[in-house]
Amino acid sequence: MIDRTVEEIYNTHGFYLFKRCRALLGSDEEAHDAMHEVFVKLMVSQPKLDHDRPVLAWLNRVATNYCFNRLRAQRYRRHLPLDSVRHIADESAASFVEMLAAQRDLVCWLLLSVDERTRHVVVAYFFDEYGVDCIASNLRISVPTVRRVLRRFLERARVRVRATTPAQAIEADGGQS
Amino acid sequence: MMSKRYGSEQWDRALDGLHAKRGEEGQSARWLKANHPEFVDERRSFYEHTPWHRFRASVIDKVERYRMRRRMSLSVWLSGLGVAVSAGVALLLMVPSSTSPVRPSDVAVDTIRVKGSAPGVQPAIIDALEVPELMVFADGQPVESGAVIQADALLMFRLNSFQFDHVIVFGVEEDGSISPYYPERASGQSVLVGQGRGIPLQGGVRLDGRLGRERFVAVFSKTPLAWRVVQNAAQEAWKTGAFRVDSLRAVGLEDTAEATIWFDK
Repeated sequence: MIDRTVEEIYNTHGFYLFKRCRALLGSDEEAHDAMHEVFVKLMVSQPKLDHDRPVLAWLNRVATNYCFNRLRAQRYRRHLPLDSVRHIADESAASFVEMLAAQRDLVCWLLLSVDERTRHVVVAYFFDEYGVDCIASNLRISVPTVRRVLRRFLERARVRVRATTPAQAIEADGGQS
Repeated sequence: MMSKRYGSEQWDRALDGLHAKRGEEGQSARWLKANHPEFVDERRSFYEHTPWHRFRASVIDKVERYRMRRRMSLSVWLSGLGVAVSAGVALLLMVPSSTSPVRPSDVAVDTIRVKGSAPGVQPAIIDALEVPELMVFADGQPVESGAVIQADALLMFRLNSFQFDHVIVFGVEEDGSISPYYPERASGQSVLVGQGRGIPLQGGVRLDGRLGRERFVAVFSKTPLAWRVVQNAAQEAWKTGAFRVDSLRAVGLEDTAEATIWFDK
């Protein structure tokens, strides 16, 4: 891939990618590292990008996977104060969604043990703040599928947040976290 | 006590409700320009701080390293294939030689030609990989850049050094404090390591238990180098913002090469 193309990609999407990485990883420096990894991969692997495979979708996928690999490596280091957020599980559906949107560390923790498609949908909704129509269009899946993925994530999130200990949270998650 | 599950409609209303509060177009550029002018400023600031040419300079080294590794694996595979083929050819030549009159000169020439192809490949591989490298082992295990290690881990180092015989290894903490590891003392100078792959540095370094990010830097030089010189250059670079733990450029001393790796503790 010639430099000119990569330069255009960087100037068009670099900042949005940086924001997404920063939102997921929680710091500028880690976001910079993530950007390095994504662009090195772009320049080395030179993926075929065309109308059916837009560049932003590719960048988002690679960046998100990188960020969650980093988060997974850090999960024992970061202390997540579950006690202080447990009450949100008892709120109404609308309040739960709003409160969850304000707790990005918690969303990241919840996303560590979900499948890749759920991760991309939830990150697009909670971090990029896209609506379900836009997510469906970007990920090329149907709107009902996006809604179903989000509902399943939210229902599972309530169960995990309510669990009183990390061990129970893991158990509630089927031992996957 | 487990409260009731919400139905699909309730969740959908909640999701749409939050999105309506955020704005119809999510974080699209148009919506952001209209609703969050500060985001536009942030974007401008991002590109002012890290324009393409600067970003490219910071990733191009990694790209080259990836490409070299890829070339190396292909070359190794091809040379392996070459060895197998030459062994097969040699066998074919040897079998008739035991049953027919020996013609030493023919056999010798053929064998030498086939075997001679391997050295032609080897220098290319070596040339392609002559990138100085700093390898770190935490409590005996090799660790890659970005790994999380114990704050009191015992670190040991190995180097790939080419064209340079001397090295200084030091660490930079998030607050900018710089500690020499090789040499151990601030009054010391670079360590003579010679050239080659996997050169071990004597002894090890026990981390002091401080949490946070630390970047380790190896500065390779052809002649002995005083730690003070490297320390001053690193401190100057830190002040100008060119040398940071997160987006490290280089200490930038003339006639030196650098390799770096960072960890979270």
